[in-house]
Amino acid sequence: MSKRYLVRRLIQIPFTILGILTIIFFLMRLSGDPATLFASQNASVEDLAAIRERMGFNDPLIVQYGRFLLDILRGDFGNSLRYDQSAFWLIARRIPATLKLAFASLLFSVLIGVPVGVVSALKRDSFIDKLSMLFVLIGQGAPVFWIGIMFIMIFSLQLKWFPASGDGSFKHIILPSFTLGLFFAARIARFTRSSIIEVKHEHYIRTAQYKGLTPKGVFYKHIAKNAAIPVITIIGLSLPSLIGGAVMVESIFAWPGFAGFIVTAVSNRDYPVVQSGVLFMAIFVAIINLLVDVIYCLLDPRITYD
Amino acid sequence: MVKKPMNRKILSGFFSNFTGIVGIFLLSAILLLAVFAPVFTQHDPVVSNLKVKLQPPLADPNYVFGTDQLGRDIFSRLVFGARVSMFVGIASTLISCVLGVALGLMSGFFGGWFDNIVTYLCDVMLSIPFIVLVIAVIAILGSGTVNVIITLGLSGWVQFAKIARSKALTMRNLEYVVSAISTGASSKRVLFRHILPNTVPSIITMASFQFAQMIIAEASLSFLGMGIRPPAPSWGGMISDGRSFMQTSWWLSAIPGIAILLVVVSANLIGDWLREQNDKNITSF
Repeated sequence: MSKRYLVRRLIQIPFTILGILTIIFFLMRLSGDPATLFASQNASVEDLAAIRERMGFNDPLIVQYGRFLLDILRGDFGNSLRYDQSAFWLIARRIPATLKLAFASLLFSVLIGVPVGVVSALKRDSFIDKLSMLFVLIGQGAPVFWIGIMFIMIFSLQLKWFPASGDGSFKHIILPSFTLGLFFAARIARFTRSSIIEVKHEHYIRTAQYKGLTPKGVFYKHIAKNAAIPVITIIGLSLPSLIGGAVMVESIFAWPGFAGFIVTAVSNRDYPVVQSGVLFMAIFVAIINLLVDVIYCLLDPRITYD
Repeated sequence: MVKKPMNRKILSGFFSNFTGIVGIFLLSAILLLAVFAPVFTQHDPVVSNLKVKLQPPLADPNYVFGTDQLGRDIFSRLVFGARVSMFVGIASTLISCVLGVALGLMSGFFGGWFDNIVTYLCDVMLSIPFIVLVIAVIAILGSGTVNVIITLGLSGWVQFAKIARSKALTMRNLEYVVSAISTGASSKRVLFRHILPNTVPSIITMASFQFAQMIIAEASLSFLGMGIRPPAPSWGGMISDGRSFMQTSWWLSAIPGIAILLVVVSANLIGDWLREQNDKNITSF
């Protein structure tokens, strides 16, 4: 991978963020009176007028837009309307918890998804294959918040194996990460299966078989290595949606991360926090995408981006 | 690729058609139930009847799926909830489809600054996970059926635009398109008569996946209390209501989730089947 490509991608990130800021800014203005987003539910007409004056909503649009961007450039995301703290810090200090949940879910989904996909590809059209394809269908079709509630009902309320909410011990992370990882595991299983099936029919696999390699040797030396690349691609491509799923999972399990906090902020009508949360999300996704690109190139020297 | 033995080919052909048919059958059954909801239900989905509250499924033949905390028939609420979900799903998919295809075709066909803007907009939209984008927009617009449709429609067009754009890009240089242009056909005519018809199979495939995603997104919003406003029945709202009774009445949350699962799985099955039919790779996973 050329350095030029990497630099170009790095330069792209601020432009993407700028785009998101622009969309947020204009959506807020299109919604009617932006002051209502920064007022409490029972604000009077005078309160609204005061907010309009204080936040400069009476100025020309272009002036407001410039000020909005400048504030964010200075790191000023506004104060939370609910907690009277910087919205930036409210979100920032919840990032480690979200990362922890995301990593745990990723680990779980790879540990489940890859073996399920491998077995069903090698035993194609067998009963096990049909069963794992059913797992894939359900895993990809069930809404993540419903899975979470079913898990709480079964494993927390009935069997009392795991706590239903919060963070603290190792046991706390099991249910949320399984919930978040299930959809992902299904996707990984599906792609592992199709990737292996495709590679199995390549000519070099037949060559390897004809030269007398054991099935195990063929699998580990030739199939697994080549089938891994599309699977890693799909993992990388899906990481943003994993972070998106964290929004639902964190709010069901009261997980103290920033993704679920966006939902709390929406119900609190705490728009500065929503805005910072969405921005962090975008920065997060941009960094993940960049890392994924770098990892591909390290894994597969054939890939270049120029 | 190695040729499959003949019997396996027929078998797997049948199998893939079979799953597609199952999907179409299931989805049309649910659609029928939704459209003719009053015919299939004997109870009002909204009026409460505390005398029969929290009946488990199958306990009373009048309430096959049981009743909720207010004694409302779960089956009626499911069927009327299907109306809302299906309507939101279809309407928002249509909006994002029309918007995305129009933007994508024009950006691929004309290129230049317009293409740059659309591509940039797609990149920006894709840098936020769909559900987060939807929550951020609904936080501004406020809840309610119309706002949910607008939000989902405005947030979901990117996938359509990407497909339409790449189609238009490749087709612009095909001989018959070039000759149409050189014989003096207007851009409008070339786009509508020559390029658009060829994008239809991939667009329909994408639409069925997108429909599944819209159903889940609507349910998620209603579950979070940002979607369909109660007392109107919605599947996400029913799951949310059931949370307070998880310990004693499992069916309140479990049954609506199964309904969502069925719709999403059938839409995905149809999508997979269609994709196999046009045998094209489109960028949806």
